[in-house]
Formats: sequence, C-alpha cells, structure tokens
Amino acid sequence: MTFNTAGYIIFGFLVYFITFHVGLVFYRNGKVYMQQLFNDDLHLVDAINNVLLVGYYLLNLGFTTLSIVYWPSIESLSELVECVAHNAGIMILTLGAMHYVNMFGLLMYSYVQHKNKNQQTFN
Amino acid sequence: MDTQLTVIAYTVYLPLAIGLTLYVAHTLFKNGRVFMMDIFNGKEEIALATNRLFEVGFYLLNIGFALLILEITSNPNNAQETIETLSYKLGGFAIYLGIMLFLNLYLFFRGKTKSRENRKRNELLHMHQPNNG
Repeated sequence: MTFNTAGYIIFGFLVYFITFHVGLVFYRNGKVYMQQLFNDDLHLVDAINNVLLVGYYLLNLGFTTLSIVYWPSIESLSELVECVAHNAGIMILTLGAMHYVNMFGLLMYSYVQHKNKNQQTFN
Repeated sequence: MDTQLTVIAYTVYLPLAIGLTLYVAHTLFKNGRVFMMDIFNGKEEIALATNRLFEVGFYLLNIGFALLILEITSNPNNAQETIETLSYKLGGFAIYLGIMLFLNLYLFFRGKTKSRENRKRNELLHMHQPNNG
C-alpha cells in the first residue's frame, strides 16, 4: 500500500460523497426552488433538474479521473495530506462557485421568462 | 522528524477549520430561515429549500477554500513555530469566514428589503383596481 494508493482511496471516498449525497440535496431542493421560479411548470423543472444533475455527475467524475493522472509521486504523510487536500479543495471550491452561478443564472432565466409572458398578455 | 510537526499541524488545522465552517454555516442559516420566510411570504417549503441550497453552497465554498490553503510551507522545527503557523492560518481563515458571514447577511437583508418593496408595490396595484373583492 503506497502513499499514492491510500491517497486515491481517500480522494475516491470524498468524491463519492460529494457526487452522490450533495448531488441529491441539490436535486431535491433545487426542484422546489425551480418550481417557485417557473410557476410549477413541472416539465420544464424536471428537464432542467435532470440535465443539471447529469452535468454535475459528469463534471465530478471527469475532474477526479483526470486529476488523478497528474498526481505527483507522494513520499511522505504530510505530502499525502497536502495532495489530497489540494485536489479536493479545487474540486469543492469549483463546485461551490458553479452552484451559486447556477442559482443566479436560473433566477435571471426566470425573470426573462416572466417578462416575456407579461409582454404577451399585453399584446 | 521535520514533517512530523507539519502532519500534527494538519491534524489540528483540519477539524478546527471544517468544524468552524459547519458551526458558522449552521448558525447563519438556522437564523436565516426567518429572512427566507419573509422573502417568500410564508411559503415554508420554498423558503426551506432555498435556504438549504444556499447553506450547502456556503459549505462547499468555504470547505474548499479551507482545503486549498491547507499547505504549510514554513517548515516548523519546534512546537513554537508550529503554533505560530497554525494561529496564522486559522486566524486568517476565521477572518475570511467572518467576511463571508457578513456578505451572506447583507444578501439576506437585500432580499428582505426587495420583497418588502415588491409587496408594497403589489398592494398599491391592487388598491387601484375597483373590481377587487
């Protein structure tokens, strides 16, 4: 059991947790959030939600499998902690930033939709 | 021998940084529910869902940041240097968390003010319609 292997396993557990459990939280709560934004248009909400979920999975798995290739040869315990923390940190931070961007993007999209709908009723 | 102190510093830093993040997030968003209920006019389900979304986003952002700044390059040789490095890192992270807390609080207040403006505007609109009620 080399340091690298241990690192891959720990990193793998972290990624699994973040991909599936956090993804589930986003999926469930995002559904309610979008129902409010898009006036209970369940077709639209489900479509956006599922696409976002698949994109989320792809991003997670893609990033982790890609980053593992570039890991340096780990020689000590402190290097292991640093390497795992660095890669996990990048992934988690990027996901958090993207999450906020998504939420405000959806908000903007719903404003545009409401504006179009209001204009239609006047015409 | 030299890296042992660094590893000890990591085992102190990680639980403290992550624990602090969890505590701040829990407090902020437990008390933020009141703001959310106000913004969504008492609709509990949407308020709680939006709150939860922002809460998990907060976790992700801050735990990611804590992990990214973990690496200790100062190579401490004794207990004193370890404690100094740790306090520098943890102090900086705590200040960052405070800034994030106030930023979120500001966003809560802005949402509340906007929702109050919207409600007043809707009230005025309804007042001018004679065939209401």
